[in-house]
Amino acid sequence: MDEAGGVRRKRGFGRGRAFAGDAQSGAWYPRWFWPSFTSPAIAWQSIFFVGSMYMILAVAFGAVDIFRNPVPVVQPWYWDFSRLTETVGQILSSDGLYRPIYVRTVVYVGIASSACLVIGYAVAYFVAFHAGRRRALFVVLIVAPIWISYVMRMYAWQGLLLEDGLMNRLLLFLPWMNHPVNWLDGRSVTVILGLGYGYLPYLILPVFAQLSRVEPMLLQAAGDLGAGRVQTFIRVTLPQSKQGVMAGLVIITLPMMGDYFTNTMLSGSPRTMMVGNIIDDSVNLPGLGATGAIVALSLVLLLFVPMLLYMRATRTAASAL
Amino acid sequence: MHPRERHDPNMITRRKLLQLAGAAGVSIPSASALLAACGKSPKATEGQKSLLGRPDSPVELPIHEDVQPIEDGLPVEEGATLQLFNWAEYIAPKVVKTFCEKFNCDYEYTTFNNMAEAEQKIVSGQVADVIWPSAEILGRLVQGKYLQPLNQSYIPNIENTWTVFSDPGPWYDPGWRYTVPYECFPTGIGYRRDVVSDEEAAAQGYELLWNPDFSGRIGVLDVFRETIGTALLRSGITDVNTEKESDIAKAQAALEELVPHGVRIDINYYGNFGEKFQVHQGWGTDFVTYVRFYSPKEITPEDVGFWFPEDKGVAANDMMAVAANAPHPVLAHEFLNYMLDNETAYTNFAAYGYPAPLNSMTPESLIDQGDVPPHLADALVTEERWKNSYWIAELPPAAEQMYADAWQAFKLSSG
Repeated sequence: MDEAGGVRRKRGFGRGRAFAGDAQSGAWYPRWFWPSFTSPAIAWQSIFFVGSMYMILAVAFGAVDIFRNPVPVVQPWYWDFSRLTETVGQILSSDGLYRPIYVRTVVYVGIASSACLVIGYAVAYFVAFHAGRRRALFVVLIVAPIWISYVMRMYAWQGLLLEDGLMNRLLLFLPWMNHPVNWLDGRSVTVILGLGYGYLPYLILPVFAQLSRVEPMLLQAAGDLGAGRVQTFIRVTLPQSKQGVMAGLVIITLPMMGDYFTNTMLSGSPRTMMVGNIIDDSVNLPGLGATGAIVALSLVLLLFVPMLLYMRATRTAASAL
Repeated sequence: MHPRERHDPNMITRRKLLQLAGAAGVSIPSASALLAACGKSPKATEGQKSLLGRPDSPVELPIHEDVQPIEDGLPVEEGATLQLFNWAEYIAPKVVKTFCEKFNCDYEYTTFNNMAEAEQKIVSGQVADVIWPSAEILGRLVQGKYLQPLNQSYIPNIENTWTVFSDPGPWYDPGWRYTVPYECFPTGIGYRRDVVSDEEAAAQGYELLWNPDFSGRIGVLDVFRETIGTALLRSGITDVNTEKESDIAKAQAALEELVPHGVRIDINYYGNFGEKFQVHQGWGTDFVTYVRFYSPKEITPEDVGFWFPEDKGVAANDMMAVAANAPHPVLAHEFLNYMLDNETAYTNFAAYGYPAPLNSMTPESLIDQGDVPPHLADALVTEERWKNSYWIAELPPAAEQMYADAWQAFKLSSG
């Protein structure tokens, strides 16, 4: 305890005053000095996160005007919860309108995220360990698609997936392909492909960053101790990259769950609608703004679970260091 | 509804910016779109009586005591910045620039993607001189005092329009107190003529959309009133503004029949109709636009046809109005007058393909000039057809809600 306390004092916390950060300057600052550096972020989050969350609540339980547009009601004592019951029923009941959409969205996101993980991990592994002097070039190439608007990239995919598009022209070289595939007629595989393509770079980057930090000596030591390549990967590399994988999955899974644009651009069929499409439609239809807000809140709750898992994994990994 | 009721992906509005931010990975997926819906409370409140005019029972729009037309003979505001609030890509920039040169002004062009968004922005205090509303919200805008009555003395070019627009004035605005017409468009079914002949299309009519032979290549407009209107007509219900729950349920059931056929709900079809679809419900003028500007070389104008019911179908027109909060109301009146000039209207048509209802711009003249292929004559509206059409009109809130609910049920059905 004394030693721990001593460490804390050395790091700068003692009797209401804080040390500047190293012993060389010898300067002391008030206790609030360093925490105050977070005030811009706190202000930002208060306005754009907490504030916006509250406005969604105000829409969810608010009123409508003569145009049937939502009128946010900020005073909770005036809130109307009638839409909540109705919408939750549509989500949870076995014959609910929204229930299949939630299931479909989870399946799509699960498959697309898994595909991203498999493809992205392999790419990140190659760039981290085998790209040599071209590592920077590969990183640029990974990031390059993000420079182009997502809208434009989806338009490009539309062109590639047309019946006489490049994808079909290539596929028709296969001996068992006799006629082109109508990729854009509302297929789940097309939407999953689009999701996977759109979010892949966001997974590669954190995994690559984590893999780059793996100490080569550890891999060498594993080899010296008799581990083969596969065993070294499973027992050394993979655990070392766990945090990057978790971060990458969180980064891609959260926005994928709310994505509506990929489906709109690559399908447009009712058979592939996702939760994000419910929200988008609700906002654009008269009288359904509250429904859209409630569905958005349900997504927040749904995504809270993986976020908690991620935070727990991060904390565990940090404490293990 | 009208041809510009579509998402323009290149245009970044406040809503789109927020939506794209959501798509790009903010922590509350899609919630951002909802925030765009938050604005000031409307001037009018729920419960006020709607002005529900119909073609056979027009309702004169009231002139409020506190929102009066401008005086006669006022000078045009000098060095002003004209504020236009319109659909994206729905007016030729060249036309606006010429106006600005003539009146020594600048302009700002603010856009909306659909009428719901336009309403939200107007209610939230959008500053505008000229607004492009549709018939189904006009009454509400007047009721909410968001438009100012026109001083008709500034708009002599109304004489260039079809007689019906000035005498007695269109059914949605008798006496043209608030609006002048902009563009006309019919709602029907576009088809690939190399897949289905004109005769076959005429024989099938609305059933073109429900024909399983076109499975996977069928599209409908992502505009709930228009598409439910088409489903109502296909079901034999000619009141496209019906308030009967059973009628709307029939239309919903008809639309849900399309889901196993792989129907796609689409709004950008005017850019790639021939490549992606064989039949598509839509606005006739969009198919004219497609063959004029967007079709690839493999698809000739001859390959695209448009079916419209021989007896009676849905048609409409857009309109221009002056906002109640217009900073430059005289300039706005001059702009309305300028847009009804024959030469201006033709320049505007030549740039993007939507004709104005002017006496000088008949379907015959456009076909004779080579602007529109003869076989697409039905994709244009004549004055006679305009008078003899079904119109998507304003509904009371409860009925509109039924349409919205039916539409969402269709869009989310798995077939």
